Amino acid sequence: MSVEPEVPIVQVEEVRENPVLYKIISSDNHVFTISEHAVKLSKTLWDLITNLGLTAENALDNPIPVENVNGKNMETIVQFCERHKYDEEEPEYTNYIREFVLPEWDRQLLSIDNEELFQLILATNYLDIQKLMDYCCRVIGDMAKDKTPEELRIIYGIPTDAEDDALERSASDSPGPSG
Amino acid sequence: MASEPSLLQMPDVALKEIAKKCDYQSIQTLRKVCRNLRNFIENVKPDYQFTNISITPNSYSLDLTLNESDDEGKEITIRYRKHGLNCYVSLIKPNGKNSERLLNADFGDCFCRDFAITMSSQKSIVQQFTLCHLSDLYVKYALDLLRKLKSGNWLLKVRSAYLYTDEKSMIADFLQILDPNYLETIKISIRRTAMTSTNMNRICELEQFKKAKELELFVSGSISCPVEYFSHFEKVRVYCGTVTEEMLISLKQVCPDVQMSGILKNVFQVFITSSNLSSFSIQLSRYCDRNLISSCFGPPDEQLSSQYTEKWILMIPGSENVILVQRNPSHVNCFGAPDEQLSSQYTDKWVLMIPGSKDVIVVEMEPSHVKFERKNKN
Repeated sequence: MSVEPEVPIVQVEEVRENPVLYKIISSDNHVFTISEHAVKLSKTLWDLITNLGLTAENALDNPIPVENVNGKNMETIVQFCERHKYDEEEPEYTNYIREFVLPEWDRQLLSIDNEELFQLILATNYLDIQKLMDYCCRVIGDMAKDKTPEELRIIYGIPTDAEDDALERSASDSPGPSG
Repeated sequence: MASEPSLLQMPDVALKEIAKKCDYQSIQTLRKVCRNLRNFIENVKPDYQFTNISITPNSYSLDLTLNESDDEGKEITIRYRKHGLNCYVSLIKPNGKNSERLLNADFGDCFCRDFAITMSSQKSIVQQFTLCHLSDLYVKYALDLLRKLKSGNWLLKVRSAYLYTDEKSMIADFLQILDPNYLETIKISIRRTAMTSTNMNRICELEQFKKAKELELFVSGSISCPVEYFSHFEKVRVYCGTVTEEMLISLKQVCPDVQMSGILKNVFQVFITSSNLSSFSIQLSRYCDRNLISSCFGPPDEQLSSQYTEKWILMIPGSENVILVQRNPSHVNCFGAPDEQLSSQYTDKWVLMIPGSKDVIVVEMEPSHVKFERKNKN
């Protein structure tokens, strides 16, 4: 008798539980469905769901509008949350800089251009998803390896000090706290 | 808000997370990108988590090595090199190096400034900090460097500190740049010079010395200071050339009441009175001669002595035990006949009872090496 390959717990649960689904509408009116476990990774969305009193019965009839996040970012976020919904707590790293390695699946998901990545970070920050924030920042941080300051300035889209000065001069006309 | 987001538009939470995930070199590069980032990094002070740091100064350059290890990927060496009035700063990599020239800058100043910035960010405790100047020609530079570091008024959080030097006056300066609350092990190696009690006095008064638990002292010259100076340590190892000569004389001066005094007996007494000390080892490169022992212990016992071995019997105050000192051309023994069961051909061992304690002292003696250890009776 052959031994059945081990079925991941994830699938078993999903089949058995028939999970609660929620609908989310992005700023450009794309609609996403996300499972309860996945949506819990976003503190903002989960707080919203509890405050609105959404339940298994009425969840799909009450889509949640998220006006700060566009469809593209929301798609990445939903993928990420579904992927990591059953993750266990990350181990405590004694030396985070060296020990932590980004999993391949996530590296692929986050291999997007910097502009999109920055947008994704803003969205992640708004939705308060700790793990995705961690991973995005890891990708950004890794970019700085073995670069010169000038290269980094371009990679990170940072204006030169001269451009900064010009900005400051134009801003100094308007009242505000002085730098 | 600009349509193209840049790193600077990231929320502080994200920027802090990014800074946490960058290595030391990346952070240093980021500091140079723009004022905003530099200010941000100076405020946040990301922890570099260095495990060990070593500084090697000499007359024309200074190497700072961080995370020294067999893994070249982890190790970072930065060299500050003097070039006329300028300073070249280079990062030494496995595949060559990458230099930058700073005009009209003293390399020592450059190093101290960078080091202060770096260490102000280090939050975790550095396991090992080493300062080593390879030749006595560089003493002046090393001293200069220490003074500069000291004037910065901040303390390195270090677990064990190693100093290799020719200049004994450096020890106190060296210890003073370390935070006494974290320092556990002090290892000092002094070449070509003697340790006098004046030097030791200055060192022994330092909080850093008083709070440490382990001491290793390598002195190629002589060492003279009361053994009591070391009584607060848990473990002491002393390697020296002519320890006994001056130490015995100094001991006689320090405690004139004690008729028979000697470093070994003194160690024994310190052992009895100190609850901390668990190991004390003395290694000598040459042994004191007969006259020296005689000057402390009086003439050898004629009945016991033979042509090759001279013996002294010393009473231990308040104890029924006696100390038997034996001297033959190659070594000196104390504490009676060695324990035959424990001793081997090359090592003599004694087990001494401590009055009123369950611990015993195990004394091991090889030619030119004496080691004391406090152990449980069993």
